[in-house]
Amino acid sequence: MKQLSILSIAFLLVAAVAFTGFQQQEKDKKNKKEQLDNRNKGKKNKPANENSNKNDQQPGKKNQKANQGKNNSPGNNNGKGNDKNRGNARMEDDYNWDRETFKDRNKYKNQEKVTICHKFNDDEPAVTLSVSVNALKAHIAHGDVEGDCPNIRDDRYSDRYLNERNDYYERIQESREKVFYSQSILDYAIQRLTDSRVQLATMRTNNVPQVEIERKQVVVLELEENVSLLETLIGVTANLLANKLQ
Amino acid sequence: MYTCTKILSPFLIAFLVFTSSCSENNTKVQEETTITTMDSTSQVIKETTDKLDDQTKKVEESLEKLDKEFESTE
Repeated sequence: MKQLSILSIAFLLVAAVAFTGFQQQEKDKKNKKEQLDNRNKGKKNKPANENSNKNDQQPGKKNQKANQGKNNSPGNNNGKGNDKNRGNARMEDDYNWDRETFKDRNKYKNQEKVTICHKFNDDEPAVTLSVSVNALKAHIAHGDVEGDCPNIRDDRYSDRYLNERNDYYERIQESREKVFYSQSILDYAIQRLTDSRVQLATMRTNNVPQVEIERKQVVVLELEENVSLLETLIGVTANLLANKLQ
Repeated sequence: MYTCTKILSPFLIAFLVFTSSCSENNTKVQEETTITTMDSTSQVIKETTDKLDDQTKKVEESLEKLDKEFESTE
């Protein structure tokens, strides 16, 4: 009799604990959903480049010529891929192209990779990411640490979910680095376009044969078209990646 | 007291089993939804990044042509 009473009280206690846990879980889920909703609302209201400014880690190092060129974006561009869109691409790496470094670009592009433990702002578990050396500084500034994340078992999530999540963020990081590289090439191309236009104008005043000028103009036009498309694609990709790895 | 406990016990056990299985299922469903979302987003990002890669290569090629064309005039 006494044992049964104790047993029932124990059951009651366990049930109460389980119920509280269940309620807490629901509450967490609700909070998380609210946070996500707020974040999405913020994303919609925020101008596209606001977020990027937070992550902008390369102000002084970027060459001024490139910035000048950016304002003189290629010919009949009609505002496509404007600075607002491109602003999103400015994230962490820092390339500084000139003719010499551009020739050796593959050497700079395939930088050594380092492993970092990327932390999130909320209580989501951290992810181990492989990032280029250039991107390390920005990640450290964000609060990430070099090396693998500590192997702490989080019972809230299954192994499958955690692995999928890791792959997902790896993909985002990889894409971010590609966007940044493309952005640097775009800046350099715009700078080169500006220079070429000046050169063409000088040639015209110096009575260089028309055939030669026209030949060069074709090359400039081809670059202009490709630059315009690249600007658009950078904008699209950067918008896709916005707020995905914070 | 004894009768009361005897009556309540099965209900308590049922309640306990129900709440625990409910929360577990809920988490699983939520995880599956998130995984599906991540997969589809990942796919879109991959496709867009591939296009970006191709276009960047085109710009690089155009730049090389430009370099060649303007090299002699500098």
